[in-house]
Amino acid sequence: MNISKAVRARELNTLAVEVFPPEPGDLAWTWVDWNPMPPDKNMGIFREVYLASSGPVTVRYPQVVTHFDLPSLEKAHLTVNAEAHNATDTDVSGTVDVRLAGMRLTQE
Amino acid sequence: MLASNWARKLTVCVTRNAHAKRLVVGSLILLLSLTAFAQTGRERTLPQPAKLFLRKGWTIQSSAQINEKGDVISANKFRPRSWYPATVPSTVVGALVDDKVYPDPLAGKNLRLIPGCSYPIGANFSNLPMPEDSPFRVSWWYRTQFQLPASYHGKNVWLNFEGINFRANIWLNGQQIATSDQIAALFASMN
Repeated sequence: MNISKAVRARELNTLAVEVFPPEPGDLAWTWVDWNPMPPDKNMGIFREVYLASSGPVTVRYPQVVTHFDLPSLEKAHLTVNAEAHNATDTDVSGTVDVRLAGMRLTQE
Repeated sequence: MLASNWARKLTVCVTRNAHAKRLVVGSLILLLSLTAFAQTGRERTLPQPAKLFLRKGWTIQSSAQINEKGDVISANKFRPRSWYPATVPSTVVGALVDDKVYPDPLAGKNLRLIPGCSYPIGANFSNLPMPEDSPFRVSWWYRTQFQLPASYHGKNVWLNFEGINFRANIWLNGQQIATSDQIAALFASMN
Protein backbone atom coordinates (compact mmCIF):
# COMPACT_ATOMS: atom_id res chain seq x y z
CA MET A 1 0.00 0.00 0.00
CA ASN A 2 1.13 3.52 -0.72
CA ILE A 3 2.02 5.20 2.58
CA SER A 4 3.68 8.29 1.09
CA LYS A 5 1.21 10.64 2.80
CA ALA A 6 1.18 8.96 6.21
CA VAL A 7 4.89 8.24 6.55
CA ARG A 8 7.38 10.78 7.94
CA ALA A 9 10.61 11.16 6.03
CA ARG A 10 12.95 12.41 8.74
CA GLU A 11 11.29 11.22 11.94
CA LEU A 12 10.51 8.00 13.68
CA ASN A 13 7.45 6.15 12.37
CA THR A 14 5.25 3.81 14.37
CA LEU A 15 3.43 0.93 12.71
CA ALA A 16 0.73 -0.98 14.59
CA VAL A 17 -1.12 -3.99 13.19
CA GLU A 18 -4.18 -5.43 14.93
CA VAL A 19 -4.45 -9.06 13.84
CA PHE A 20 -7.64 -11.11 14.12
CA PRO A 21 -7.57 -14.92 14.17
CA PRO A 22 -9.21 -16.97 11.41
CA GLU A 23 -12.77 -18.06 12.11
CA PRO A 24 -14.49 -21.28 11.05
CA GLY A 25 -15.04 -21.04 7.29
CA ASP A 26 -12.11 -18.69 6.60
CA LEU A 27 -9.69 -19.97 3.99
CA ALA A 28 -6.71 -19.87 6.33
CA TRP A 29 -3.69 -22.07 7.02
CA THR A 30 -5.11 -25.18 8.65
CA TRP A 31 -3.69 -28.40 9.98
CA VAL A 32 -4.95 -31.96 10.08
CA ASP A 33 -4.56 -34.65 12.70
CA TRP A 34 -0.89 -35.38 11.97
CA ASN A 35 -0.01 -31.87 13.04
CA PRO A 36 -2.39 -30.49 15.68
CA MET A 37 -3.27 -26.84 15.35
CA PRO A 38 -1.85 -24.36 17.87
CA PRO A 39 -4.47 -22.59 19.97
CA ASP A 40 -4.08 -19.27 18.13
CA LYS A 41 -4.97 -20.97 14.82
CA ASN A 42 -1.69 -19.52 13.51
CA MET A 43 -2.89 -15.97 14.01
CA GLY A 44 -0.22 -13.41 13.25
CA ILE A 45 1.93 -11.70 10.68
CA PHE A 46 2.69 -14.89 8.85
CA ARG A 47 5.01 -13.67 6.08
CA GLU A 48 7.43 -10.81 5.46
CA VAL A 49 6.67 -7.12 5.93
CA TYR A 50 8.79 -4.67 3.96
CA LEU A 51 9.10 -1.12 2.73
CA ALA A 52 9.98 -0.14 -0.82
CA SER A 53 10.34 3.18 -2.61
CA SER A 54 9.56 4.15 -6.17
CA GLY A 55 9.16 7.05 -8.54
CA PRO A 56 5.72 8.05 -9.80
CA VAL A 57 5.26 4.82 -11.80
CA THR A 58 6.00 1.27 -10.72
CA VAL A 59 6.31 -1.80 -12.93
CA ARG A 60 5.68 -5.16 -11.36
CA TYR A 61 4.72 -8.78 -11.98
CA PRO A 62 6.71 -9.22 -15.22
CA GLN A 63 5.91 -12.38 -17.19
CA VAL A 64 7.12 -13.77 -20.53
CA VAL A 65 4.99 -16.38 -22.30
CA THR A 66 6.68 -18.36 -25.10
CA HIS A 67 5.01 -20.12 -28.03
CA PHE A 68 6.93 -21.97 -30.78
CA ASP A 69 5.87 -22.60 -34.38
CA LEU A 70 5.63 -26.39 -34.73
CA PRO A 71 7.20 -28.53 -35.99
CA SER A 72 10.01 -26.26 -37.23
CA LEU A 73 10.81 -24.47 -33.96
CA GLU A 74 12.20 -21.72 -36.24
CA LYS A 75 10.14 -18.98 -34.69
CA ALA A 76 9.41 -18.10 -31.13
CA HIS A 77 6.53 -15.84 -30.29
CA LEU A 78 7.07 -14.07 -27.03
CA THR A 79 4.46 -12.16 -25.14
CA VAL A 80 5.68 -9.92 -22.38
CA ASN A 81 3.27 -8.81 -19.72
CA ALA A 82 3.83 -6.50 -16.81
CA GLU A 83 1.72 -4.22 -14.75
CA ALA A 84 2.39 -0.50 -14.59
CA HIS A 85 0.90 1.46 -11.77
CA ASN A 86 0.72 5.23 -11.69
CA ALA A 87 0.86 6.42 -8.09
CA THR A 88 0.15 10.04 -9.02
CA ASP A 89 -3.16 11.76 -9.75
CA THR A 90 -2.08 12.85 -13.23
CA ASP A 91 -1.06 11.18 -16.49
CA VAL A 92 2.61 10.29 -16.73
CA SER A 93 4.51 9.84 -19.96
CA GLY A 94 7.84 8.07 -20.24
CA THR A 95 9.76 5.38 -22.02
CA VAL A 96 9.41 1.68 -21.45
CA ASP A 97 12.79 -0.05 -21.51
CA VAL A 98 12.77 -3.83 -21.95
CA ARG A 99 15.80 -6.10 -22.01
CA LEU A 100 14.95 -9.57 -23.19
CA ALA A 101 17.20 -12.38 -24.47
CA GLY A 102 20.02 -9.94 -25.18
CA MET A 103 17.72 -7.49 -26.96
CA ARG A 104 16.85 -4.05 -25.86
CA LEU A 105 13.50 -2.56 -26.75
CA THR A 106 12.22 0.86 -25.97
CA GLN A 107 8.84 2.39 -26.56
CA GLU A 108 7.71 5.93 -25.85
CA MET B 1 3.73 6.16 -23.91
CA LEU B 2 0.95 7.08 -21.60
CA ALA B 3 0.43 5.34 -18.31
CA SER B 4 -2.85 6.83 -17.22
CA ASN B 5 -3.75 4.30 -14.59
CA TRP B 6 -3.12 0.84 -15.89
CA ALA B 7 -1.04 -0.16 -18.81
CA ARG B 8 -1.56 0.06 -22.54
CA LYS B 9 -0.71 -2.67 -24.97
CA LEU B 10 2.22 -2.15 -27.32
CA THR B 11 3.31 -4.20 -30.30
CA VAL B 12 6.93 -4.53 -31.32
CA CYS B 13 8.49 -6.83 -33.94
CA VAL B 14 12.10 -7.89 -33.64
CA THR B 15 14.37 -9.90 -35.89
CA ARG B 16 17.75 -11.13 -34.79
CA ASN B 17 20.59 -13.25 -36.23
CA ALA B 18 22.24 -15.74 -33.96
CA HIS B 19 25.44 -17.42 -35.19
CA ALA B 20 24.89 -19.94 -37.96
CA LYS B 21 21.31 -20.60 -37.12
CA ARG B 22 18.85 -17.90 -37.83
CA LEU B 23 16.54 -17.22 -35.01
CA VAL B 24 13.58 -15.01 -35.58
CA VAL B 25 11.75 -13.63 -32.67
CA GLY B 26 8.49 -12.35 -34.03
CA SER B 27 5.31 -10.75 -32.88
CA LEU B 28 6.56 -9.60 -29.57
CA ILE B 29 3.57 -8.11 -27.91
CA LEU B 30 4.39 -6.29 -24.80
CA LEU B 31 2.35 -4.81 -22.09
CA LEU B 32 4.96 -2.63 -20.49
CA SER B 33 8.41 -3.10 -19.28
CA LEU B 34 10.56 -5.67 -17.55
CA THR B 35 12.79 -3.05 -16.10
CA ALA B 36 11.27 0.31 -15.37
CA PHE B 37 10.61 3.67 -16.88
CA ALA B 38 14.01 4.59 -18.21
CA GLN B 39 15.24 7.99 -19.20
CA THR B 40 15.39 8.13 -22.98
CA GLY B 41 18.71 7.39 -24.61
CA ARG B 42 20.60 6.86 -21.39
CA GLU B 43 22.09 3.55 -20.48
CA ARG B 44 21.68 2.50 -16.92
CA THR B 45 21.88 -0.66 -14.95
CA LEU B 46 18.76 -2.56 -14.08
CA PRO B 47 17.26 -1.00 -11.01
CA GLN B 48 17.03 -3.51 -8.20
CA PRO B 49 14.20 -2.53 -5.91
CA ALA B 50 15.71 -2.22 -2.45
CA LYS B 51 13.35 -3.77 0.03
CA LEU B 52 13.63 -2.76 3.63
CA PHE B 53 12.39 -5.69 5.69
CA LEU B 54 10.72 -4.97 9.02
CA ARG B 55 11.78 -8.08 10.92
CA LYS B 56 13.24 -7.00 14.23
CA GLY B 57 12.13 -4.91 17.16
CA TRP B 58 8.46 -5.77 17.15
CA THR B 59 6.39 -6.17 20.29
CA ILE B 60 3.04 -7.94 20.62
CA GLN B 61 0.19 -7.80 23.10
CA SER B 62 -3.39 -9.02 23.40
CA SER B 63 -6.02 -6.37 22.76
CA ALA B 64 -7.67 -7.63 25.96
CA GLN B 65 -4.68 -6.22 27.90
CA ILE B 66 -4.72 -2.78 26.25
CA ASN B 67 -7.16 0.04 26.91
CA GLU B 68 -5.89 2.23 24.07
CA LYS B 69 -7.05 2.07 20.47
CA GLY B 70 -4.99 2.08 17.28
CA ASP B 71 -4.59 5.85 17.08
CA VAL B 72 -2.79 5.90 20.43
CA ILE B 73 -0.92 2.61 20.01
CA SER B 74 0.52 3.76 16.67
CA ALA B 75 1.73 7.09 18.09
CA ASN B 76 5.48 7.46 18.61
CA LYS B 77 5.05 8.39 22.26
CA PHE B 78 3.07 5.26 23.23
CA ARG B 79 5.14 2.98 25.45
CA PRO B 80 4.34 -0.73 25.00
CA ARG B 81 4.99 -1.62 28.64
CA SER B 82 4.90 -5.34 29.40
CA TRP B 83 4.41 -6.20 25.73
CA TYR B 84 6.22 -9.29 24.46
CA PRO B 85 9.21 -8.95 22.12
CA ALA B 86 8.77 -10.55 18.69
CA THR B 87 10.38 -10.92 15.32
CA VAL B 88 8.32 -10.92 12.13
CA PRO B 89 7.18 -13.09 10.51
CA SER B 90 5.83 -14.99 13.49
CA THR B 91 2.50 -16.20 14.74
CA VAL B 92 1.38 -15.02 18.17
CA VAL B 93 2.00 -18.38 19.84
CA GLY B 94 5.30 -18.69 17.95
CA ALA B 95 6.49 -15.39 19.42
CA LEU B 96 5.31 -16.35 22.92
CA VAL B 97 7.18 -19.65 22.70
CA ASP B 98 10.31 -17.73 21.64
CA ASP B 99 9.75 -15.51 24.69
CA LYS B 100 9.55 -18.62 26.96
CA VAL B 101 5.99 -17.73 27.97
CA TYR B 102 4.99 -21.22 26.84
CA PRO B 103 7.09 -24.39 26.62
CA ASP B 104 8.27 -25.81 23.29
CA PRO B 105 4.99 -27.15 21.82
CA LEU B 106 6.86 -29.75 19.74
CA ALA B 107 8.08 -31.63 22.83
CA GLY B 108 5.84 -34.27 24.41
CA LYS B 109 2.32 -33.04 25.00
CA ASN B 110 3.43 -29.46 25.71
CA LEU B 111 1.08 -28.13 23.05
CA ARG B 112 -1.88 -29.13 25.22
CA LEU B 113 -0.50 -27.04 28.12
CA ILE B 114 -0.97 -23.79 26.18
CA PRO B 115 -4.21 -22.02 27.13
CA GLY B 116 -6.96 -22.32 24.55
CA CYS B 117 -5.82 -25.77 23.46
CA SER B 118 -8.71 -27.71 25.00
CA TYR B 119 -10.28 -28.79 21.70
CA PRO B 120 -10.76 -32.58 21.42
CA ILE B 121 -7.61 -34.44 20.31
CA GLY B 122 -8.02 -35.46 16.69
CA ALA B 123 -10.69 -32.84 15.99
CA ASN B 124 -10.23 -30.34 13.18
CA PHE B 125 -9.85 -27.21 15.28
CA SER B 126 -10.10 -24.93 12.26
CA ASN B 127 -13.79 -25.84 11.99
CA LEU B 128 -14.44 -25.17 15.67
CA PRO B 129 -14.74 -21.87 17.50
CA MET B 130 -11.99 -21.07 19.99
CA PRO B 131 -12.93 -21.82 23.62
CA GLU B 132 -14.40 -18.93 25.60
CA ASP B 133 -11.35 -18.72 27.86
CA SER B 134 -8.80 -18.75 25.02
CA PRO B 135 -6.38 -15.79 25.12
CA PHE B 136 -6.33 -15.96 21.32
CA ARG B 137 -10.04 -15.45 20.80
CA VAL B 138 -9.42 -11.71 20.68
CA SER B 139 -7.24 -9.65 18.37
CA TRP B 140 -3.53 -9.20 19.09
CA TRP B 141 -1.45 -6.11 18.33
CA TYR B 142 1.93 -6.11 16.60
CA ARG B 143 3.87 -2.87 16.93
CA THR B 144 7.21 -1.63 15.61
CA GLN B 145 9.01 1.60 14.77
CA PHE B 146 11.17 2.47 11.78
CA GLN B 147 12.96 5.32 10.06
CA LEU B 148 13.16 5.77 6.33
CA PRO B 149 16.61 5.70 4.75
CA ALA B 150 17.67 8.92 3.03
CA SER B 151 17.25 7.25 -0.37
CA TYR B 152 13.49 7.09 0.27
CA HIS B 153 13.08 10.83 0.80
CA GLY B 154 10.91 12.50 -1.83
CA LYS B 155 9.80 9.20 -3.30
CA ASN B 156 6.66 7.16 -3.14
CA VAL B 157 6.89 4.81 -0.18
CA TRP B 158 5.17 1.43 -0.21
CA LEU B 159 4.40 -0.81 2.75
CA ASN B 160 3.93 -4.44 1.80
CA PHE B 161 2.51 -7.33 3.81
CA GLU B 162 3.04 -10.69 2.16
CA GLY B 163 0.60 -12.50 4.40
CA ILE B 164 -1.37 -11.94 7.56
CA ASN B 165 -3.38 -14.69 9.21
CA PHE B 166 -6.19 -13.76 9.06
CA ARG B 167 -7.53 -10.19 9.14
CA ALA B 168 -5.92 -6.94 10.23
CA ASN B 169 -6.37 -3.27 10.93
CA ILE B 170 -3.21 -1.36 10.04
CA TRP B 171 -2.23 1.93 11.65
CA LEU B 172 0.69 4.23 10.90
CA ASN B 173 1.54 7.32 12.98
CA GLY B 174 -1.90 7.56 14.56
CA GLN B 175 -3.74 7.10 11.28
CA GLN B 176 -5.57 4.00 10.10
CA ILE B 177 -4.25 3.06 6.64
CA ALA B 178 -6.13 -0.21 6.09
CA THR B 179 -9.09 -1.98 7.66
CA SER B 180 -9.85 -5.62 8.36
CA ASP B 181 -12.34 -5.53 5.46
CA GLN B 182 -9.44 -4.91 3.10
CA ILE B 183 -6.74 -6.97 4.78
CA ALA B 184 -7.67 -10.65 4.87
CA ALA B 185 -5.92 -13.79 3.70
CA LEU B 186 -2.65 -15.52 4.00
CA PHE B 187 -0.88 -15.63 0.67
CA ALA B 188 -2.14 -12.49 -1.02
CA SER B 189 0.58 -9.89 -1.40
CA MET B 190 -1.12 -6.81 -0.12
CA ASN B 191 0.59 -4.03 -2.00
